[in-house]
Amino acid sequence: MNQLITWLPFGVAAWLFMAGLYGIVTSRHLVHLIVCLSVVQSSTYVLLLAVGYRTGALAPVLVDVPAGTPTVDPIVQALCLTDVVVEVTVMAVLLALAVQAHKRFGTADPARLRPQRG
Amino acid sequence: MPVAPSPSLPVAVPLVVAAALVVGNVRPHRRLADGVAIACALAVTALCVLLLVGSLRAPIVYWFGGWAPRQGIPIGVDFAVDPLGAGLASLSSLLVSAAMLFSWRYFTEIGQLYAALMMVFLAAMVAFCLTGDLFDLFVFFELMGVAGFALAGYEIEEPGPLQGAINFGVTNTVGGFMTLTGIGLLYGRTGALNLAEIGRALARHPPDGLLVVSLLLVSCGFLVKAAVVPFHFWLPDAHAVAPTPVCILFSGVMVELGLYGVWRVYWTVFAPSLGQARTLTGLLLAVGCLTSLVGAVECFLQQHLKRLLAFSTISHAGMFLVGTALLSPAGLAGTAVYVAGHGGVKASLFLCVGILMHRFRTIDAARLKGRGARLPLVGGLFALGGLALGGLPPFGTALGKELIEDASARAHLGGIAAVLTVATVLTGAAVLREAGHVFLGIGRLQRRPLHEIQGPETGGPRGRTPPVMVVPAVGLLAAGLAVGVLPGFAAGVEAAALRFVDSGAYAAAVLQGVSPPAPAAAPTAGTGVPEPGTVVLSGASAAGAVLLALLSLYAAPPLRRLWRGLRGVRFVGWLRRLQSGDVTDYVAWLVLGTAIYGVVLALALR
Amino acid sequence: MTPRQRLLAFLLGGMGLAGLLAWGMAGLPGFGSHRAAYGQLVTRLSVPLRNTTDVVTAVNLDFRGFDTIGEEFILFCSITATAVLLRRQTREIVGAPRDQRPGRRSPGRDDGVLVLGTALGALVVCFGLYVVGHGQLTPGGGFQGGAILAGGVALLYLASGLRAVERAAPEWLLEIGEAVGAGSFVAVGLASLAAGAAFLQNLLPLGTPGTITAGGALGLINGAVGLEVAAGTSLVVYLFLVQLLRIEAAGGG
Repeated sequence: MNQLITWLPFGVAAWLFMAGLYGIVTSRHLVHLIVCLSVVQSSTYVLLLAVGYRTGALAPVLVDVPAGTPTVDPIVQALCLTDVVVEVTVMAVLLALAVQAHKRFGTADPARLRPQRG
Repeated sequence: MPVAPSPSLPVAVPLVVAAALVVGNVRPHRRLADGVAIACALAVTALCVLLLVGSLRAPIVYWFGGWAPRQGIPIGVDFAVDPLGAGLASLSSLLVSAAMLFSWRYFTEIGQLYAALMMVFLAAMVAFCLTGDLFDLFVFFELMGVAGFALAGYEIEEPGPLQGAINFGVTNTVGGFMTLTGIGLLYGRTGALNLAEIGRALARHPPDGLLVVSLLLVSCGFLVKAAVVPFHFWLPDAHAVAPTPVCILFSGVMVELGLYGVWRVYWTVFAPSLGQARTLTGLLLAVGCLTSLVGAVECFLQQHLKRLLAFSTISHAGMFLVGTALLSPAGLAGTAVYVAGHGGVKASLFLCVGILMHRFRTIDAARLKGRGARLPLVGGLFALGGLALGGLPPFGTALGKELIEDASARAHLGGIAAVLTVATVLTGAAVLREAGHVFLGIGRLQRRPLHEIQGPETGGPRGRTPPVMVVPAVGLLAAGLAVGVLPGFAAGVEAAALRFVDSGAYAAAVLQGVSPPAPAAAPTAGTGVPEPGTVVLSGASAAGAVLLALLSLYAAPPLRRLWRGLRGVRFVGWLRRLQSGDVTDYVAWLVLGTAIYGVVLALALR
Repeated sequence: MTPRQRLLAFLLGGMGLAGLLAWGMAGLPGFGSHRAAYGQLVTRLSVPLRNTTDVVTAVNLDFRGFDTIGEEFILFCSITATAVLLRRQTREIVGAPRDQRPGRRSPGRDDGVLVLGTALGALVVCFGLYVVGHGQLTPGGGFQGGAILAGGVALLYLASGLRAVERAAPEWLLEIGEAVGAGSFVAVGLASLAAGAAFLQNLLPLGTPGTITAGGALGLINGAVGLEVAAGTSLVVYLFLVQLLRIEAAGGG
């Protein structure tokens, strides 16, 4: 059981990564593709936060906490926090492209966007 | 000796200017906005050159927020400026200045937001070149990506730009996630995000699975941007449709920055653990040669001028990878010189294509036969650019190629020269063929016109070419030539390359603030002067390019019969069909490529 | 590639990549045993050196503030990009909001929804401002609070419709707010530079830990980031709403 707990978070991260990529590769609609992209991004959050966790430690908020109490790693939390908010807007850019592509091509199927030939 | 400016300035200034431009967008004033943007880009160029000069003797290490390392642990983010990084930053800002000058008065649809996006793009590129922190590298990589695909898809009313931007956006974002996963793995083991500190902490363990996989993931993310096979499919789609000034940035420096990222991380983080891994060299040389040849063959078959140049960029990216994969300072120096020369030449070629687009509303070579005869100067620039790509000495491109070939010969890998020569002959011949076809109207080449996927980029009168378009094209080509003839430039680059690969000195400078003693000129570094044999080879490849161009202009049908006879057509057809425009294909190739490289890397480094 | 070939390529690559990921992760220290010195040192320094009890905010805006500038400008750039990409095309017109036109099929707006939505919206805005301002003490800060504030704008649309959003938070105001927020963060850094210290060095008086004035420049930066995230994310929501409800092809349709 202990072994499972030790490797489960990393397993989840790896699973999300691969599942998201599978979703992208088999996608037939751009909005679905972009949502799968955010699933892949979630896997990076899980990995980062799992890497920084420390059993039995407190959150890195030191109000009324004696100095020297072990806390989990604040660095990865800071990285994930900004990434989450930024992801919203990056996905927004891609969705904007998808909206305009749907208007122009009449379809949001990536395979039916006309190929460029040179 | 001028005091080096604060390294934060070349990043902070364009960011503030971008914010100010968006504020001013409420009441847009195009001339003012463009003027401010050009002035800002020129100022950043000057700052980067000053940083370059200031870092010649010792790296400039700058800790943001005043957070120097405490108790031996770096807790802040730093910029570690060395000559190669500052040089790339200068090239980036120079190209942005040229791009903003070229787009003066045009692209009126979005007011000042275009200039704001370009300023953000500039800041991201400069920060990427100067930083010494791994997460910082990732953040500015993402920023470059977002600014890039916004600029690529800017013409929303045409189908081509939308598709190109989507393909660019999705593949580069997936690449970014791979890099972030690699960073997570590295942080898990070393608990550090500073490049030098990670390298030091990683070297305490023997190389194992985590090291190999994090090397793979971090590199593959950057290699997507560097358009190496099989991560290259997005580049022609994006280049073909991005506005011309944006194309010169993509081809001239953004692709090269991807490779810079790989090598910066390798030499600071992984080299202390791996040392001189010959097997890594083998893998990367194979990948580089494959990229180089695939790009060159596809380039030769194109008739859409921007896609032609895009595939030539892929080919050159392969050559840059070959040069750096030798893992020697000489190879790195040759690549740096090649990048500088290529930046100027390729940018100039794209600007010439942009002028054609402005005058004739099309860049399909099949529709342009002979029409360029009214533009002799542009034609001359285009032909010179083609010769430079083909390896004509003393252009910077030729010098770089010669230095790489010398370095590979010293490493007993003489076959490299053959691959590079084939690639340069094909890419040079493609450009020269179009130069003859479009500007001279010679040849009997018949091609079907393409389905147009994008409209004209510019407004304004079509009768004449404005000087703001021609001057940057001339200037950049001249810069590409200057790189090859400037005395001492190549020797200086060799010295800079020696410092780039010195992980120990880098770590000492960043972590302990100790400036290293000037390295004694190692005998293997070379003096920046190529062997006479390679110079002759370059001249021969340029001549070969001219010959092949003439052959394809006049003798296309017999050539095709020969080619069919050699059963080449089926393979080539398959290659061209791979470029399907379907982003799900590209991501599938991304995954497959990463897996294959990972397995080979694992077997090689075990 | 045909869908089958693509799937085959992905399965092959995916299995290899999954195996490699597992191999790489096997080298990680087990879950829960992270002891790296970097995080611990930062936690130890946060209160004595910066009077900030929320270590994550101190890391984001002080220790690694430059990274956050980069992230904030990704936000800024994405929002500008969305504004560029969702602009009205030359063949389109901006009409009246489709969900408020006479003769529409959806039910009218209920007075109860209007009142409740507005009251809740006000609550959400207050809460958002609280989260932004208290980032130095407890979990919170500009990013989190800004996202909550943007939620307030979305709630305002749901309660009162697009025209109300345009009156309360017109597009030009959101654009200016977003740019001012982003520019201010860099300006704070430049101000430290001008004062002779390093870029983004915290030079303001540090206040007492556990109060709103703690952290010196952190409060200022939290405000700037909050402004940018709030204005920017609201702008993105608004742009998509306009694209959906107002923009249509000229000549009907």
